[in-house]
Parts: sequence; structure tokens; C-alpha cells
Amino acid sequence: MKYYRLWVLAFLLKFIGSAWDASYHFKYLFEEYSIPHIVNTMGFALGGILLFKEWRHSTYMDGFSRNLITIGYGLFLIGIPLDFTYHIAYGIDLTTWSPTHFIYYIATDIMIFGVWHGYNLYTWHTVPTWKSMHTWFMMFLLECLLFPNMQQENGAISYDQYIHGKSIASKEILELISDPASQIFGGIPVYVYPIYSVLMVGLLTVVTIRILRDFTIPFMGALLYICLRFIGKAIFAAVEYPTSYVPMTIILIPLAFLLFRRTNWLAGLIGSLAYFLSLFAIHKSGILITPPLELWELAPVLLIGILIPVINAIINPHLALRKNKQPA
Amino acid sequence: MIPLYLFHVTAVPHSESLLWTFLTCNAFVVISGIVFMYKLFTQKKVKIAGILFGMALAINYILIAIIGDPFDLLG
Repeated sequence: MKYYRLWVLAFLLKFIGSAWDASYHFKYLFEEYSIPHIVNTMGFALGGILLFKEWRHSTYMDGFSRNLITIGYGLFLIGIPLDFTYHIAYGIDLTTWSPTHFIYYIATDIMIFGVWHGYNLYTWHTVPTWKSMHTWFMMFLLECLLFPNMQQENGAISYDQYIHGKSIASKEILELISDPASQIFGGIPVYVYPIYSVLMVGLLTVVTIRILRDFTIPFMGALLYICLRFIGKAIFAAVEYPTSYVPMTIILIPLAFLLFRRTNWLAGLIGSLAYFLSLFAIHKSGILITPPLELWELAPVLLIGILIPVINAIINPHLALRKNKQPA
Repeated sequence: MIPLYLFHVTAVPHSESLLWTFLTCNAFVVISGIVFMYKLFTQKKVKIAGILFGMALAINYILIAIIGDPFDLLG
């Protein structure tokens, strides 16, 4: 188990580094020895060592899981020169939504999925529970899938500070801003935020339940993610770094599936409805600063919330890995 | 520049002088990378594809370190 605990540490370092980096670029443009990048690279390097160890002597995971992680590493390494070329062509982009940044997210998703797949097979003789490392891997995958939203979640607070003349961004960042309502939110239309959130959270929840046959792991993974985001927010606030809105209402999506104890359209509908309306209520009441929202976005959010479990039911059930709920 | 949402960038001055050199090297790393990853996914032998991919990465990374900065390699 120590091997997989080290993977948890590696992904945790990547999580800390990327969250720090997202906050960092709302205050500073660029610094040569960017510490958030170094923390992220430490996680990447630790994972690389663990992967190399497995290539030398296959001990803790099957060949396919090892290959999946290697694909993730390969894709990430391809992303670096492509991102550099993108900057040559278009200049520095301060958004999580750039096409070359998505290569990093997809690559990290593949790495996490590979490790999680390996862990699931390594612990095949035990029933998956939320007390195991499944919850950690669920949380890491959720964090990586939702990472682009950090632009909107950090941007909401930064934009509010900017329009009230209380921005904490550095002079070099403020000089770049010509169209704050667009630039601070990465040039992405406002409707992307809730639609993307419900798509990623709903999809990950349903797929996790389908593979592990456990309704608690997605809920606890989302809860762990929210707790860590709040800890991060408290630390950033303490050191006067830009903070972000914590997407706590996403918890209602896995909670609906947990309460219904089945992945049907009704659980999808209730979860996505509760997610959006609670977020909209927070937005309208002004209790917290959230990314911008419009009420009409409820329609696509509900549609996606319903479609995910429906499509899951249509797809051949034999594709799911079966792991019966029996005592070990 | 192309007015697409995903191509949203800052107006920081930048030079496009070496764009085609980098694009050529990028094409090499992308093609060799796809071959390498396909072989990994299908669980075939990856030694030669891995060496070619490694060479393509090395060329790209050395170029970045010379033209740009070694810290650009951190992603």
C-alpha cells in the first residue's frame, strides 16, 4: 500500500502546485523561478520515479495500468513544447481554458485514471469503501476535471475586487487589462461554468458508481475536494493571495445518487436541479461571490444531468468492471 | 489573431520569428508521441517508438531551453 500512498502524495503535490499557480496568475504575470510550477513538477517527478520503478520490476500494478500512466506522462511531455509554441504564436495567455493547457489536464486525468485502475485491480480481493484510497483518487480526478473552472472561480472574486477598485493584482497584470469582464474570466461565455460543472461531476459520479458499485465514494471524494479547497482558500487569504469561490454545491450531485441508491434519470434530475438552484440562490442573494449565472442555464444543466444516467443505462452493462459486494 | 474564445490571450508583445521552426519540431514530437502512445495502449513492444519519441522530446526541449528558458520546461 505504501506504493499507492506515494502516488497519493505525488498527486497531492500536483494539486497544491496547480491551485497555487491558478491563484498566482491572478496576482502576478510571470516569475522566472515560479514556485507553484516547481511544486507541481515535484509531484510529477515523484510519480515518474514510481512509474519507472514499475517499468523495471512490475510489482504493484498490471501492464495496462502502467501503460495508461505512461500515456498520461507522454501526453503531458508533448504538451510542454506545444504550449511554448502557442505562446510564441499568440503571446502569454492568462487563462485555464487555453487549448494547450487542456493537454495538461487530459494527460493528468489519464495518469490518475491509470493509477486508480491499478489500485482497483491491486485491491481486487477487498470491497471498495470510502475509507480506502479510492476516495483520494476520486477526489484527484474530480479536481483535475474541474480545474478549468478555477478561472471562473478565481475570476469572480478578482473581478469584483477590480470593479470596486480594490484589486490585489500586481501593476503588470492591471496594465494588461483592457476588457476586464472578458479577460478575467478567460474569454469564456458565462454559461460554460454550470454546464461544464454538471457534466464533469455527473459523469465522474456515474462512472465511479458503475465501476466500483459504491455510492459513498463519489460523495466522499467530492466532500474531500471541497474541504481541501476551503483549506487552500484560508491559506491564500492568510498570505493575501487571490482566493476563489469554492464550488460546494457540486456535492449535491453525488448526494442525490447516494440518497436514491441508483443511477437513474430522477437522481440525475434532482442532483443537477439542487446543484444549480442552490448556486443560483447564493449568486442572487450575494452571500458569496460566485461566477456569473443566468437562470436560463438551468435548462441545459437539467438536460445534461438527466442524460448522463440515461446514456449510462443504455451503454452495454457488460463493459462495467464487476466487483460484487461480498465480504473480503 | 483569430477571434475565437479559446484563443483568448493577453496583448503582451511577442515575437513570432521562430514559429515555423518550433511548429516543425512540434510535428515531429506529436507524430512520434501518437505512435508511442498507440503502441502502449495496444500493449505492443514500444522500445523503438519510445526511443524516437524520446529523441523528438529532447530536440524540442533543448530548443526551448536555448531560445526560451529552462524554467519554461516546467510547463
